[in-house]
Amino acid sequence: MMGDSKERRVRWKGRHACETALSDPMSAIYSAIKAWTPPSGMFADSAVLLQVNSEQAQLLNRACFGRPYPPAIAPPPPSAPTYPPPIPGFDDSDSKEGLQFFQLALEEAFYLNYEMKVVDMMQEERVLLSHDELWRLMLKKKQHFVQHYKAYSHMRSKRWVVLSGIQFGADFMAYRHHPALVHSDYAVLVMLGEERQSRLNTWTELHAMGRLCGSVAKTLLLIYVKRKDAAVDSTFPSCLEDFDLETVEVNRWLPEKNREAGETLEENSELG
Amino acid sequence: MNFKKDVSVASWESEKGLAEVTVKKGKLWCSMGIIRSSKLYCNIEESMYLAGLGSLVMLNDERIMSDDEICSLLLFPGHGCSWAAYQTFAYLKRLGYIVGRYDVLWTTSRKQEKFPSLQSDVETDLSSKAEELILPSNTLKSVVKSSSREVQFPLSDTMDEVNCDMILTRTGAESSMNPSLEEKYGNDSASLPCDIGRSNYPREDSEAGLEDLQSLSVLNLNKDEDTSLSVLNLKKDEDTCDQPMFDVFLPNGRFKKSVPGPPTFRLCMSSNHPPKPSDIRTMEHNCGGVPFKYVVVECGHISIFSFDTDIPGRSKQGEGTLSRVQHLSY
Repeated sequence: MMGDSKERRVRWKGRHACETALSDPMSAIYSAIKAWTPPSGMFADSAVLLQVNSEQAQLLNRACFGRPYPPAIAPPPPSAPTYPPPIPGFDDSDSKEGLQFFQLALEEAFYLNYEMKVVDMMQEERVLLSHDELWRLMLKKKQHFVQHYKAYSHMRSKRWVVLSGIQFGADFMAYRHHPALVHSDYAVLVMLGEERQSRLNTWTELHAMGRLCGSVAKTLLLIYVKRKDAAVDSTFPSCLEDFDLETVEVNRWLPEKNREAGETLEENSELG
Repeated sequence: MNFKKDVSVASWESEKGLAEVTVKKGKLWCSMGIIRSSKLYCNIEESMYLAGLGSLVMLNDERIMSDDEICSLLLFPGHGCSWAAYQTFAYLKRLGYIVGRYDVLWTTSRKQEKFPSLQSDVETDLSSKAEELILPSNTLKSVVKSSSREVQFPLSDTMDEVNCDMILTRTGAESSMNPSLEEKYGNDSASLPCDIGRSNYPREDSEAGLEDLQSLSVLNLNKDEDTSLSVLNLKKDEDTCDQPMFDVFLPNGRFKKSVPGPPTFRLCMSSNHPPKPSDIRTMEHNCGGVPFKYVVVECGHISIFSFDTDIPGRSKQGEGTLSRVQHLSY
């Protein structure tokens, strides 16, 4: 199972990252978000755009929901990742009323709206969407939204930071805290049901995934989301209760590196 | 708000789906915006991008538009640009590329009086070229869908000296006369003068004799008709990707709208799945010899892929070489 039941060492970036993270725990950031005035979001294709002020932008940044848009023109120097990361376009000298767009993924938007109830979603005509209406729109916009959202919300509820994994060829990346402070633990693939899948169906694919994870120093985590019953009506978000979830962590064990007595090392990298 | 010295002003015209630039400042307009009837217009993605930079103030009914109003215009499907397409546009623009909507002419205005004194700065031998004329797809649609020819901007002021019974294609790379055009589309295009069209459009010569020659994409215009050219190049079906979205040119300080040359590549917005070989072949055909790439935007990450159906390593001596390799490996 995932890192709660197993003692998993967090891989911090830099000496002070651990203290910084402990001084700004995720749960505290979530509480601050719950206390704010809900901003409104609108759909932009398969993304959601929120207009937020600088305080809200900071909170979203620290909790890793979405990304500011437009992104920074020049990326910050990689040597010293700052926390909290600066938000481009938000000048301290500007008025506090300055608004900026934040771009959210569908799962993020639905989580903020449905679980945390901190964001309102609007239709084009400035009509407020109910949770059910929003859910149905989400299902239309993304195939397998139900399973992806189930996996996403499960991890978020355990205070993992969950981001898009597209850069790494995965569905999600999971971090113990902000990516500026910690290396990602998991590359997550959402598996639909337990039966033979359309992905990771062969050992070749598993090797490929393993190699990819190894080269970016992440562990492959498979989250199987399956219906409890054959017939599940997915018209309402309450159907999420009708899905079971199981996590499987995949590690490649290398006999060459484990001949010493003592702690067995799990290695994810391919042989030289 | 940043104070910028060169701030242009544009006024949104909802019936056109474009903003007319009323105050033009700065050199950026050399490679942005399109010219119609001697006026400069920019599309919604250009407007939003420049407004975001602080280089453009957008007006609607003489009222300054806010960021989210401009964004709402962008998200309106009738303006031909999706959010993913906008992100791609802005990303490439920030890197310095020149990006226009696929197959929308940069300009229809003409500098010279007579058309066309096509001196032989470019040697063309159209009669011998049997290339198939690949019409710009928006023209194709307007012809195929309805037999009326529609051009949005009254061209009478720019087309006076032009013999309207002419066909030219935009990039020239794929242009040639095609007598079968008449039978395909039922236009009386048989009267095409034979020195029209340039099969080869050498970009190197573009500033020399061809400077005066504007490329036009019109189909048998009747000057008296009120006609409209689709400068938005709206897709028939948002879900399919059978035509590119953008024409992309390398950064070029000497870019000329009158003679842009063929684009460096064409960019297609991808659908939910990577393209199948049949999709790639269709796109190859539609792009008319210009390289093309696919862009996928996911959670703000923009990735551009090219798919090449022509694999290197085949040679005329292929068979002999192959068998030799096989022999060695055993």
